[in-house]
Amino acid sequence: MEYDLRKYILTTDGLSKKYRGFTALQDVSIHIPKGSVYCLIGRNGAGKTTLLRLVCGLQKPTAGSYSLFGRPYGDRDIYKSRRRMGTMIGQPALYPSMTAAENLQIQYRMLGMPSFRDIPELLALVGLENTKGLRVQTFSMGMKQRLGIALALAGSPDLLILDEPTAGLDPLGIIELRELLLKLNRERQTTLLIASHLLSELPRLATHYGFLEKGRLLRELDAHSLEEGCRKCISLTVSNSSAVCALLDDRKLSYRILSDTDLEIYSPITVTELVQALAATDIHILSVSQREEGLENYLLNLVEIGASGYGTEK
Amino acid sequence: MNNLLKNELLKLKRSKSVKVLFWYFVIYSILGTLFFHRADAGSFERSGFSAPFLTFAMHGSSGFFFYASVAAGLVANEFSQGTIHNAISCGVERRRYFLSKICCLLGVTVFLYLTNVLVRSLAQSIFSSFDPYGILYSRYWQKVLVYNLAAILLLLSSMSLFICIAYLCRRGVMTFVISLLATDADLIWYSRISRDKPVGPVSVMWQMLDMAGTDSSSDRLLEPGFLLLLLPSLCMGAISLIVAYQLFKRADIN
Repeated sequence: MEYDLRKYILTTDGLSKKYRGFTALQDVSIHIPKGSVYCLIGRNGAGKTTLLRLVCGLQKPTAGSYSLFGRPYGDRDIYKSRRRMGTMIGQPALYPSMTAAENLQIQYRMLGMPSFRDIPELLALVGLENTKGLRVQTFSMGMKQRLGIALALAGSPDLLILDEPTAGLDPLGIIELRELLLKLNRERQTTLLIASHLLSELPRLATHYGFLEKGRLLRELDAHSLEEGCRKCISLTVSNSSAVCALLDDRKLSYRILSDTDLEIYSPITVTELVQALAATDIHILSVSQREEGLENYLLNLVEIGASGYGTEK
Repeated sequence: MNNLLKNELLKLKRSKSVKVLFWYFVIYSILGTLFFHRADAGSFERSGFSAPFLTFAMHGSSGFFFYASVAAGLVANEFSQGTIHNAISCGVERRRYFLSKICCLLGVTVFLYLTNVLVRSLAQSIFSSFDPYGILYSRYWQKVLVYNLAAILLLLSSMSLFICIAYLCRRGVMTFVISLLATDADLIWYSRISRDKPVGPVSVMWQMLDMAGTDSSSDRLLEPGFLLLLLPSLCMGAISLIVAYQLFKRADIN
């Protein structure tokens, strides 16, 4: 598939990273459109953090390349493109003997920003306005995470790269962060690249997804395509699920048994057809409901077929 | 570059290792003058070279390996606490980052040395006058100047080695331990194997101390041949900085 590279703030082309005897990333090509919220999904060790480190210039790729704000990897001035990025990879990197404001001052100076006037506002944005004089070593994990996000937001970046930004945050903090990221995306057109495990939160944020497994990109698609691709599912509660299985097997329907009484049926069968088929037997139907397969199930299915089905789809 | 230097200065101000070393030198210099101003002159007491002067140079360079704690704190800890990620990710060129760090680290080395010397001489002049004991050496102040300049250069060479070790190890404690071992190895070489051919900065420093023993031997400080004595250490310092830069420039930051 041909991609118009002008639309994309970040693209990778066959990016690979090998350590001694171990391939962390293999032939990964992602495309992050300007203004999108791109969520990188995969289990631990899938290669998400490795990909982010390569893009941030912390590590050098073994093969392949990437382009950041139109500048290719290897360009002498690529550091200028990185000035337009804000990042938080892994645990927040903070100076423990300094205050939150001083940590931000360090960041501001590195970005070449002449004034520190915005710092109080930035601290208020992440909920750290009452930490004046407190050193970072006294902060809780959640406070450190918030400060890490503030550091990433310093300089109003055009691209924000966050690796597990919700780690250490309480439920309210997660909601606040989600709202903040949405606000940045909508009001400032900040492009977001988020690596996260928190599948429940991502559908509220993401416009694009990239699924990584064992260092390979399984699939890359936008939210609309994901919605269409998610299978419809009929949740059924019956008196005896094993009796239902025989019926479903006869009709060659795809299903999953959840318990002695609960099933999920994925094949394209309507509720009416299913109920009529079950009514002809002695099986009692206790409840029936229809829903779409969530992101979690989509990912599980993708990983199961992933060994034979690597590719991208848009 | 100015911004990076300001950042490094802020880190120095907040660095526990720099603060500890500063106060160690101040207190040690004052106590040393108060209690040992005659005793530690030892055999040099009559030389006129030493009492107010030998002690500054010797104590100014005392505990070479303590300076490694500064390298450990300001270089190795940046890797272990991950703050180097922020710098590289937000577009700071590795070359500039390295240069700003080196300038500050070498600058603080000179600062700590001069602090030691100045506090010592102040304490000396308060407690027991500044006049040298015995007969003053010929060309006394020239020798003092050369000796201290040489001591500073040797310290900078040592610090360069510690910085290289810090970039290699990327861990504070390991940096300190390996630096201490390297310093000890140099001392052992000098004291047990070859006193005629000092290798590293510490052994050269001890040979300089030997030279300061008499008026005639101290003349060697003003001879061109004295530079040859410093040369291996200075080369070691330069090579250490080059290696440190290459380690930082090329290596992945995990």
